[in-house]
Amino acid sequence: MMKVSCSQEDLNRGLAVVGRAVATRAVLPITNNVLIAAEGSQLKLAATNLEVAITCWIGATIEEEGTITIPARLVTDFVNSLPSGRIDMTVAPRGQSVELTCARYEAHISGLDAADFPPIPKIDEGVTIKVKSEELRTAINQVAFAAASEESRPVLTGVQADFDGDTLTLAAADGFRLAVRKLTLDNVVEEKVTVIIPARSLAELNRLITDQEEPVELTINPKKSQVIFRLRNVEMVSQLIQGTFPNYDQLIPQSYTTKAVVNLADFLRATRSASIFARDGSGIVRLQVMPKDGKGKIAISARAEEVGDNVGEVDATVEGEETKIAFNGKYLVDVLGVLGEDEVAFEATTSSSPGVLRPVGKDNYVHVVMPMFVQW
Amino acid sequence: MWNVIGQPKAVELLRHSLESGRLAHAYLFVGQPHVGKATLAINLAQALNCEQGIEPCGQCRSCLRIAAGKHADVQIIGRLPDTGSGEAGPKKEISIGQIRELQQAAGLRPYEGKHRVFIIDSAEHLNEESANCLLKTLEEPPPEVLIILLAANDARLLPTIVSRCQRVELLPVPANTIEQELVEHRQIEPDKAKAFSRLCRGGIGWAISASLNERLPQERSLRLNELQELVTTSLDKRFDFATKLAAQFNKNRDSVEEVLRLWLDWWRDLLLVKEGCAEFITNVDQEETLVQHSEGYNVAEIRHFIEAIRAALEQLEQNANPRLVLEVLMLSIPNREEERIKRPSA
Amino acid sequence: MASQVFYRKWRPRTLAQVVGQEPVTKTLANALTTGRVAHAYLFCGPRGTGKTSTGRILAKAINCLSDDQEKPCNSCSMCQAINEGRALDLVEIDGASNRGIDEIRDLREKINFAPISAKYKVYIIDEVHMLTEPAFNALLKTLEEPPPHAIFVLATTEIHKIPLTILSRCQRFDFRRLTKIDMVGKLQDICEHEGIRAESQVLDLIARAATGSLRDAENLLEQIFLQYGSDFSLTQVSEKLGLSSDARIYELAKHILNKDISAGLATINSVSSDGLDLRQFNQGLVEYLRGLLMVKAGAPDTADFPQDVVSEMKQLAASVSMTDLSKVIKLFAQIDFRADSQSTLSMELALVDCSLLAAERPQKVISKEKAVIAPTIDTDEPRPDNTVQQQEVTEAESPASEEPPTTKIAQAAIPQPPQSIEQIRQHWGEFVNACRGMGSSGNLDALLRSACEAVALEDDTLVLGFYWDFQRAKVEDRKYRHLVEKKLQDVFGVPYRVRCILTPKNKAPKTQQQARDPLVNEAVKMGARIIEEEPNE
Repeated sequence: MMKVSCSQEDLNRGLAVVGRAVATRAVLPITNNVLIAAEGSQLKLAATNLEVAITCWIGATIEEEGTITIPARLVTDFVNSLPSGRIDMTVAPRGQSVELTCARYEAHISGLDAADFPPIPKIDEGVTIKVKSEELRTAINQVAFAAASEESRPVLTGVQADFDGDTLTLAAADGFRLAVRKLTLDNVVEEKVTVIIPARSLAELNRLITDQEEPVELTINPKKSQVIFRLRNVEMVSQLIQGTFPNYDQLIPQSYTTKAVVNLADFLRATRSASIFARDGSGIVRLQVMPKDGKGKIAISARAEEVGDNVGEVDATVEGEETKIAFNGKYLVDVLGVLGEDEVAFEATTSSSPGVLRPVGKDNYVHVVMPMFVQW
Repeated sequence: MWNVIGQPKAVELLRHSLESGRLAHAYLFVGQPHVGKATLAINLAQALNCEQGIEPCGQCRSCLRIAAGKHADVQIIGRLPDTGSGEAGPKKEISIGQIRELQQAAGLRPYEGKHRVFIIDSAEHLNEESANCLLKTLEEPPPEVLIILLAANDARLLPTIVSRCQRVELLPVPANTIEQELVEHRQIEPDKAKAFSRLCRGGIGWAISASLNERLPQERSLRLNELQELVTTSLDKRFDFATKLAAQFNKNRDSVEEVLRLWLDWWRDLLLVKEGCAEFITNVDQEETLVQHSEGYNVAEIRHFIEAIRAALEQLEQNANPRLVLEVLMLSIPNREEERIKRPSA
Repeated sequence: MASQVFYRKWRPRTLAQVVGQEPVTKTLANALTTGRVAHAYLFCGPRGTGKTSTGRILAKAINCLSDDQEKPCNSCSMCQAINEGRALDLVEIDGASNRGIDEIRDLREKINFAPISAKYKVYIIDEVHMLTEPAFNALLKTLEEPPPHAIFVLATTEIHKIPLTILSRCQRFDFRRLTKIDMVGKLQDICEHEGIRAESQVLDLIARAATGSLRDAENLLEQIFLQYGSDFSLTQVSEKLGLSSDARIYELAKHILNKDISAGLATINSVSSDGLDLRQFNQGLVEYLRGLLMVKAGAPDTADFPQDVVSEMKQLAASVSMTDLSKVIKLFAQIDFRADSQSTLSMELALVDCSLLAAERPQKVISKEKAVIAPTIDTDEPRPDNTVQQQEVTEAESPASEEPPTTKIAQAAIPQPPQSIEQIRQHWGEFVNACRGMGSSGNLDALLRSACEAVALEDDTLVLGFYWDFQRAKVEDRKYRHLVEKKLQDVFGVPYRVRCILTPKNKAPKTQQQARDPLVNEAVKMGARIIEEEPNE
């Protein structure tokens, strides 16, 4: 039994939000459905693919409370096609189908019993923090891309989150690069907690918090198996990854022999244009850092065998020795694209030891990228 | 309650391992079809996730959800339905994609329970790629993960798979145990219970299904009648039958395999009867017919036709042209003595 | 699920802990101390002999941060990271599921990245024989010019599937099946640490059942420990291993030789309904029958049976002819339990076949051929090396293939000269084995076994179908062709010529003969020639 009405716009938006968590392949067929629950004065929509669960509340007029699950694709596409205006949804007593009417449209959608739906995790206790949404979004942007996309070691597809005092440190590594970002929390955690969150879940979270201004509240359950993100009218729960994350502190070089400070936009442009020539040759982009009287430059070059080569130069403030080092152009572009400051500091030691990039003026981010072996 | 029937040894082993905290991360349950492998695997999954303790209580929410196949952390991986073939038959193999999904899911902490349990049903259907792909996870899965492989014949598995699992053997359930179960716990009439408990040859699952579902025993007698007709019918009719069966094969290969296995049982029975060992036959309800039929053949004829059926099964498995294979099989059906008298030309 | 299983818990962590592979570990230890580490290793050998473990130890040793002479130290941060499976610079790839050109190309690109924290980036590719041909070619380029920081460890159980071009660029190490002594030693170690009291006899039995794979042995030990607790008896172990059927083996052997089929069927069915492993039972039976053969041939010592059993055997052997006995052995030894899940059938059929042996004229071999008895054709010839194959069947008991009776029986094995491709196929395996040691690298047999099949017989020309062109070209080359032709004459007594063609690889080339439509087989027997074959869908 259920009887409820809401606006087409709200329902459409709500279904789009939870739709991101609907399973595409179905280990449990019911996870292809969306859960619709009329409770109190709100209509709750929820979906889960057993890795991420998203719940969304929309305003509605509830005449009879009730719940049901119906095929997500079908209802989402149908509601999307409807004209704006009021939608009425009714489930007959003991019924397993929804009658949905809107203006002169009417649909019957068969569903499955909500009791069989995987429980959407409720996390009421555990370590809870609040963080500014803009800050969290930037941090995720700066870190998540460095996680492995598919990997025989699942931990590398995740982002490690360390909560310590009023600091959250996010770190991701794929074996060839490492990104570490610290951010300040709005509160202090009582115990130190470390978890690994799937990078995909964080990317999903970033889509959800684009237009949110309030801080995001985050809770990790006591078993450390799930994390919940509470946004305005939306909650997202992500499963956590089990395993041990690489000890990344050891991977950040403690010293350098060459340091160059460069304008970020110039560096990015020169790297991008070199990457065009690097497409065929394993993506190799060569950096030559040349000091000259306290100033200096970086020459960024690439070769495409039998096609041609290019070189671009950017001015730099160089400390230390001249050095040559080669990187995968895409990896450089990835990190330069998210630094978000005017200037970047590039540190290197030898052509076979890691390169380090930091935004100038902020000490909350460090990116380590492995050089490539080339014959100079 | 461990509700698998007639496997006290296997249950004891698992219970003991659970109690002493020595449960392995990978098991291989070996036993003939319908003997209770899946039931035992589900039981173990329940035990690991039960909200009451380390016995599967069967009553708590977790146990109920697992039994109903709705628990998010207990997955049964088998051959996917073959949507291309038009009928309900499953695909030929368990694909590498399914194993990759397993690996990805295994990397996550449990969703609603305490352990993630992956049950690979009919592990014989892992192909070379998917089996090899599974090796690393099977050897060193993340904590809180249990992988259970079910197989009727572990000689068909890669030895590298077998050697990474704890092997648990499920023996055929004694007929008396089955009969008792059917009568006492499932309210089946004693006559039926007796017949089914013998017919299933230790595969209690078949006996239970057959007693619940009229279709199963009916199907069986239909197939047996078909078979008995075929041996006396004309070559044309046999070829028609081969064509029909081949068409069925293209839609659902398993069902044809079942038919041939039934034949295999029948002819084995003939052989046993012929050799005076009727006590070991499968089709216990057909003993009279078997005795009668066995008069018409000599041992070598029966023996050779059994080989022909086995060859046909193997050829089908290797993707030989089903119609050709089945036609050849039809050609190999030996003529019964009385037929030879009736049709001296044959 | 608190504890780790034995084979993980007791995985070796230093070269010294790797059991039974001294030639490998010594050479590697030497290379490590002298700093002569190669860029590509190929570890081959049966499962559970330590290939991957040794690969990991190697990765630790070359990257170990300690100043100790003994490396790996297993305590520095690098060793620990590798032991805990979280080192970024040790990459384990499973070749079977990453077998395509794209995966290997991806690897080739990534290999150029410097290691992130270790000195060397180590790639262990398991089951490397599963790579496709283009993937091997792509890998080859990397093996030719690896970056200085990269080390490859290729591991495989099937060395004959590795292209020669790859072989020649790797340092090859052969891992052997563990000897019973080595295996028992390691098991004893584990027992001591786990508080298990087990007699050496018991461990002997486990080691024997594990056929040279340590992982199998460790796993068996753990299963027995879990089932019976820390104190178990020989009987319990033989029960677990499905071996406690000695009396019934004798019983069945007696029924077989007396041609009492119905009693034999009863024995088989009772063994099966007691839940004993029929494979093991059959193995025991074959061993016993082989023992009878030895006893009959007057060499009871080679049979390795206790004295009282031998006298019982003598009695039994007296009632049967050598020829019959050898035929019976063959029937049971060639049973392939993979064929059906209802496993009594295979043994029942073998039993019935025994009764048919006498009745029928020269018996056509009905099921799969599997050479059991050394099929030497001409006793003057250097004996083809069949000992390995024989050991597999008779479970490496004693090197008894030198017995005269074996040779005698075998002489009848190949009809001379073969009339049809069928006959050649039937003895193809024996022919291939006879090619061992030939060719420039002595592995012509491996090449023939894995790369081709006998496709057709056209008058005096034998057509060989190859799956890959480069292997076809190789054998087509006069030098190799001549070798093959010569050996064909040696084995079959006919001066065949050889023609090589390309043929699509059948899924299971070994059973090609069976997979082919019997109608076609019949036609071929009547003289038809196969012009073209369509792969069946």
